[in-house]
Amino acid sequence: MPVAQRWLVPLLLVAVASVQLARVSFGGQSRWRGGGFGMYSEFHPSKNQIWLRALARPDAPPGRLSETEGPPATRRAVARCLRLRSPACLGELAATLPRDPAPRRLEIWQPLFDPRAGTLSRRRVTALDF
Amino acid sequence: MMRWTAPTPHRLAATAALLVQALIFVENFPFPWGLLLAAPALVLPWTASAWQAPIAWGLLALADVVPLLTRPLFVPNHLFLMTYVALALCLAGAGEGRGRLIAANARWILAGVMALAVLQKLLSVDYSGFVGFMIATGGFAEPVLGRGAAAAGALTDNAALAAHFLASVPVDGATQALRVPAGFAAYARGAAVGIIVVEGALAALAIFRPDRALFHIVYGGFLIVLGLVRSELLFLSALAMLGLLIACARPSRWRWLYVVILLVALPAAAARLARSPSSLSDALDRAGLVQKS
Repeated sequence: MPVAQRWLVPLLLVAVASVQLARVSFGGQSRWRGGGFGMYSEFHPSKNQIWLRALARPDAPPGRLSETEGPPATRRAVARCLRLRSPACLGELAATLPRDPAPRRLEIWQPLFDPRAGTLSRRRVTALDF
Repeated sequence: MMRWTAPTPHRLAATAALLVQALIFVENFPFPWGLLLAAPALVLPWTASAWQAPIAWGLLALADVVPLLTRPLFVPNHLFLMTYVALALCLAGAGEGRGRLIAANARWILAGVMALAVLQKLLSVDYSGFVGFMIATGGFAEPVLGRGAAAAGALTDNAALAAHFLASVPVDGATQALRVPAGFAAYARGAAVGIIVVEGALAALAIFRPDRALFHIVYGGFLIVLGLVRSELLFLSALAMLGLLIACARPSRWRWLYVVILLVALPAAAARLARSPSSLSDALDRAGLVQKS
């Protein structure tokens, strides 16, 4: 039984999953995506949220960015950042937003659930001032 | 009078793989490419021997790789799984040992998928909280928890509370209490551990005991429970196809268990695809036959 026929596919599976695990650990990637078979090990990326704050107006409520609303480039970047929670991804998203001289901040939040207390909360995963 | 004869195990397994492949094309390619790719996949099993031609499976695997490379963050894991299966069917050649090679690859793919699922859960700090949230809001275990009216009411209330909370502006330290019974944390932890134990057992059985009845009982049970608690119909179909590929390695009646699961899951998956954003729903929408959800 030739080695390639027998082991190429399992080795490919392990190689792809190793890259995915590295990206999850060091790049903020969602466990649900990328061939690591990490579904149901954390909240689905659709539960993550991206908010835009105007830093010069701390009292103004932040706006939530959606992957279904806004210009196509922004929607694509939002969809990507929901799955890749990193400042670099937020930088790409910021580049698609309308220019504004006032400082702003993009934040990615994800839900958390404490089964002991029975409480749902959110934590800020990463942010980018621009 | 013509007598119906059961298809050979390998033809049965290849047909299942092609049907799952066709639906995965429809799901992951835009209109009309998904349907164009699915068409030959649906025709192949009826031709004399094309379904076991390595070149056919090689081309299907190549087509699978396109969305994996162009949209890796957006494609589902069952597309990865299908790619591995198509590649294994290509590499198995057309010789005498094809069935054994396919089964060997299928059980290593299954073992890899289950071992990775366990590893990801062990590495995730949010895992037990996520399981608790899913139970508390009816995300899964609803068929079990939702029997009593009180439990169903709590699940609905919790889902509404969670949706309302998550729609609000996020504030550090803000929390939303959900309605959970006393001892809920232990129940959630037990469910979380139970999932890991079953998936770990399946990985071990796929490696060491794939030809034993125990493997098919545990795996068949896992697939049935998965189908009852979550509507992951295409992933369920892909997993059932793996079971069929394993069961077809030698004469065994267990293959009919996977055929039955596929007979339920595949039409349901096709119906779901017809209504969700996919090349099939685009085509049906254009023809005025189905309104997309």
